[in-house]
Amino acid sequence: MEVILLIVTIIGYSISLGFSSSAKERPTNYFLYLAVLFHLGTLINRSVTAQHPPFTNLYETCILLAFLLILRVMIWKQQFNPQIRTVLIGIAMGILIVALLLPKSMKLPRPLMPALNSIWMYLHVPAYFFGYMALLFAGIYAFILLLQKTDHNSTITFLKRLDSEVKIAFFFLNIGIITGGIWAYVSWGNYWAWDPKETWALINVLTLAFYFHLQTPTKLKKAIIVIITLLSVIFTYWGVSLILVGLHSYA
Amino acid sequence: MRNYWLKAFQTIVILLLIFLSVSTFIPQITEFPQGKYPGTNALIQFLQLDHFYNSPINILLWAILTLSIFGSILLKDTQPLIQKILHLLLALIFITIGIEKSINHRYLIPIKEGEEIQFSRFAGTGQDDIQLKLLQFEILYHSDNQTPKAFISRFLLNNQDSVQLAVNQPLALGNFRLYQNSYDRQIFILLMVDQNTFQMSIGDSLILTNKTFKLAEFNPVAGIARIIYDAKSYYLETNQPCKIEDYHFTIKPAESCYRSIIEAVEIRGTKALLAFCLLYLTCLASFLWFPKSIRQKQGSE
Repeated sequence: MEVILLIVTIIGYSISLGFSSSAKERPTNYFLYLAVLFHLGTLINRSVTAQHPPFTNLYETCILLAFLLILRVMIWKQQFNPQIRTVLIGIAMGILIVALLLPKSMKLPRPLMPALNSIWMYLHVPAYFFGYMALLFAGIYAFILLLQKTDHNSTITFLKRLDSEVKIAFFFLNIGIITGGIWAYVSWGNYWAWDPKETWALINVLTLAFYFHLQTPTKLKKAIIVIITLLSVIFTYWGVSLILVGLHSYA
Repeated sequence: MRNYWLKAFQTIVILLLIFLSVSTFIPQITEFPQGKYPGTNALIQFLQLDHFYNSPINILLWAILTLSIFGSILLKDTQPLIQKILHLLLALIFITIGIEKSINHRYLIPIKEGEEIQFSRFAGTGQDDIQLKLLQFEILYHSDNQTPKAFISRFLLNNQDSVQLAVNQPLALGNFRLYQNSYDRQIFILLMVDQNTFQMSIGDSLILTNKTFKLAEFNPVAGIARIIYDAKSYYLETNQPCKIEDYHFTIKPAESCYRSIIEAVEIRGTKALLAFCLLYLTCLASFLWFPKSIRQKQGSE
């Protein structure tokens, strides 16, 4: 049932993308809203099957991240021009396709391990995904700024939006690290164990901290820092889970 | 002066980023003596990347980072107050972590049902002694797939107070906090030697007239035990007598028992660390979004 809902969601987003590229707003929005409903249905179905929120593994969090992205695009529609909206919907769809293509063993709903059965999961995991979402938006603005060879009227707007997204990302990444430490302390008595996931989370924060510590903050430097942080976050999210082993291996 | 601290910060952070990221790809062999295991690259050993997190290099980098933060607070006059407080809190967090990691100890305590231990045996002298007796260790399972849902240990403290310990529900004992770390299963066998019966677990040794017989392994599924005597291995099947030297050995499986593994952790300084972290988050929010925060020069190419 869940896989069917997921496939229908992806089809809905792809149809919406198709209409979006031919600049037809009404059918774009219609199929987008329909896809979001099925997307929400996927999340609810997963939560009911697994008997916990969709926070605990790569498959669940991919679906969640894509949902948060689309929700933001829909709620703050005016902030994004149609081209950026198209790119964001495409990214969300890409994340869902990756989730769909994960091996079956990674998609099976599993009951919570004793250490995961904690209220801190409801703070730590969403904080990180709000941060990742903001960083993704920042990454898009960074790419746009890099591609702009000369300054336009829009450069200042994009710079302001980049600053805004980076602030959100930095704040939520810090909340994620601190709540993660508190959770680990409550569960294991050790708030920091240099686990690969923890270490890469720290790397992300340190990299993004550079953004606020530039001697001469130019458009190019800011964009490069954001893109490096985004790549680091992508590795933290997927690379660490799939390649490196640690306490977070269940994620 | 402003640039000096900023450059120091940037340099140290870049070094940390490189070392930390590379170290995640190298197995951290903190439990082995340095260089005493095969296959380690000389460069990795020289840079201490195989045990980077506990190495002097890591500690030094974080110490220099903390100093650069203090330097920027003391010598950079153009910083607004909120920014100075933010940096101060960050430096205090690093210092508290450094102190906390060096003064606090951790002990793993395996204990089986019915067993009583003195806490001072693990916590050293000077600690008000507490007697811990494990009354019951329980594993709760998920109904659908029988995977563990919770581990619960019920203790009697000083033969008086009954307390419960579970994952995510630690127990405070003075300067220590007890955590339900994990559990293991101790498998026992009954080893009958001529007319005598001994209960043994894996690793136990039996001495008979100056001869030592060690129970090296027991496979409960196959019902086969391996006993080592005089550097030779003897395989015994359940209920099948076997002669080793002048003795007749027979093994029978005995009931296994679970051992609760609890971890006792000293918690000095952790409340201060938590307070600094929460204040840091508050100051960070103020710095990032309150309009009176100073903005760094927004340059553009």
